[in-house]
Amino acid sequence: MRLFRTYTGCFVLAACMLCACQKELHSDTGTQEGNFRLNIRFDPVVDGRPLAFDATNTNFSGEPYTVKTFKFYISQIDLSATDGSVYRVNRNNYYLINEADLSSTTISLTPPTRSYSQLSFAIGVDSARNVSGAQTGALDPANGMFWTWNSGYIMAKLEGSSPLSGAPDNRIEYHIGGFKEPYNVLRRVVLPLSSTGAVSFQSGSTNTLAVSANVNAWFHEPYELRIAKTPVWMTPGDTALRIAQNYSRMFTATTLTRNP
Amino acid sequence: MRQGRIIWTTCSLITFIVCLIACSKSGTEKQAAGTHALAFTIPAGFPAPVYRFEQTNPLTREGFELGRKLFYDGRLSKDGNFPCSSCHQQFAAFATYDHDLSHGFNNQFTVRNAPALSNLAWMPALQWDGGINNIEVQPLAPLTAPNEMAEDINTVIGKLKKDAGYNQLFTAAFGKGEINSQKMLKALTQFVGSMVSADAKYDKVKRGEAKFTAAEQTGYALFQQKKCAICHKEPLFTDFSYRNTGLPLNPSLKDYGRMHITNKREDSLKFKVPSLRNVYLTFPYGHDGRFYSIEDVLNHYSNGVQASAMVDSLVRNRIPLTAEEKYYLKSFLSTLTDTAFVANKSFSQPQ
Repeated sequence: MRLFRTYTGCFVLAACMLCACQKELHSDTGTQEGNFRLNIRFDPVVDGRPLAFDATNTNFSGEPYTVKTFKFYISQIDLSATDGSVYRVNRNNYYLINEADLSSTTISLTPPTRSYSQLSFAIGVDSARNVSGAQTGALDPANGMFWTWNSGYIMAKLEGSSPLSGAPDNRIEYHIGGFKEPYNVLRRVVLPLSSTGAVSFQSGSTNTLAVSANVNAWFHEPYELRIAKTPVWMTPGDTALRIAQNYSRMFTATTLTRNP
Repeated sequence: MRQGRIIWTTCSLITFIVCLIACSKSGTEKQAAGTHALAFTIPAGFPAPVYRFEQTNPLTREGFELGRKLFYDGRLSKDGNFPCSSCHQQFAAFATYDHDLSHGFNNQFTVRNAPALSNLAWMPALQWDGGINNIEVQPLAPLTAPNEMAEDINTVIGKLKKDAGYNQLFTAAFGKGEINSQKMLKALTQFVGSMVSADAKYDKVKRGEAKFTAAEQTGYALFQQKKCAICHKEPLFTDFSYRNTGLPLNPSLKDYGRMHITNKREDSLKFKVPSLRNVYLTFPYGHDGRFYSIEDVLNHYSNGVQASAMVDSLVRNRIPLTAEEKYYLKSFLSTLTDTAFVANKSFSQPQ
């Protein structure tokens, strides 16, 4: 009898521990994959026009500037369908969009065939990943999006120059990060897809959703960021939060292209 | 009854192994095939470490040896002259011997005193200001600092990829696949994280293998009475807190410590409480090495603290010490020297 109880105890223990492991397995596999391809392409723009690197733009305050680097992290992507279901992209997937490198600007997803009305995602890297040690892939610190002296990811980066900058070589550098409250700059973006005119997808088809990323949004709404006053910001804190608030409004879903 | 216990033990062991296999499939790191596991032993009386090798970075002989080679390799620095070991010397308990500030690339000084390296797996944060939150990413700070190793991560990885020896060692430690920064950092962590110092006379006394002399015993009692032990908490001899100990700002270094990380005024001039293990080997002392000897440090607490509302309440009113008390305290502190640790050949430069 005692032996039986011992065996049962062992079995229960084993089952519990296996379940604990299983749970982890599930969270790793993410939502069920579907059978059509949706490419989300992030296009850099300046107030509706394509961004030309190293050409002069003008921000809301009338300040001239050029862009050399424009990079940001996208994660926690959700696609909401009109039937209320949500396609959740694996939470371990992080995408580094480098607007100067065309090969990095498209995120390729394979959601199930449904009629989708909304795209949402986070700009940045969640706090857990910021404290989890050495990462690889998009999160490799070699990508230049990691602060080595105050551990944490740069969630978004905008670099260039402006004659109004008093920094060396008239540089402008905005490295926006910080994952600890109250300075956590991770921002969630919700984009309705109705403006693209088409939200339902055919099984087996490939579709490309263009999302524009407006550089000028960094400098305006809700906070006015004047280059003359703040040409450089590269630490977590109030200013980083404000700039993140601004750039969280830079995205617009513009067009949907179907390739049968 | 006894049979039951054996079954329990067997079952538990099998369960544990099954779970290890099951869990390893779920994406957590598993030991590469053909590697030899190394045990990470928690010394008696030590708490559970913060960094858990078994969870993300299984400790293996191959990983440790690769980390050791990297630690002593100047190629991790821009001009080849500054391996990790240039500032972390084993005979100085992995601090920089006899230097307040260390030397880096192009005849530059560091802004802080190089800390001794031991028991890092227990540290919740690294650096004098606690800015680094995981031991794995700590090497990136000196590696990329323009006044230290002055290198670029991609350049270092490029150098390692071109080296046939490193290709073999990385494959042996982590299996096939490209060398990347994650593997380099995990290997370095295996090496430095394995540096456990827990065999000083103090430890032997605690284990009942040795006895304090009368002077050491008096010093140990004073260490408690004078409240040194609150911040320098046993057995790691630090409570990992950040404190302002009444050191005036060095105007040329302008180092405000913890405030650089938190942006909080109240953290101005707070620095991490350093461990006192091997303290006799790690002079000079303080975040900028301004105290050359232990006597200087004791004199600071006895009559040098610059009192202000910002200074930690434990030392604000100073800790007056007589010459005798200083003598006894130093006697006790000398029992924290772990000669086996500094002579341990497995932490020395590989031949």
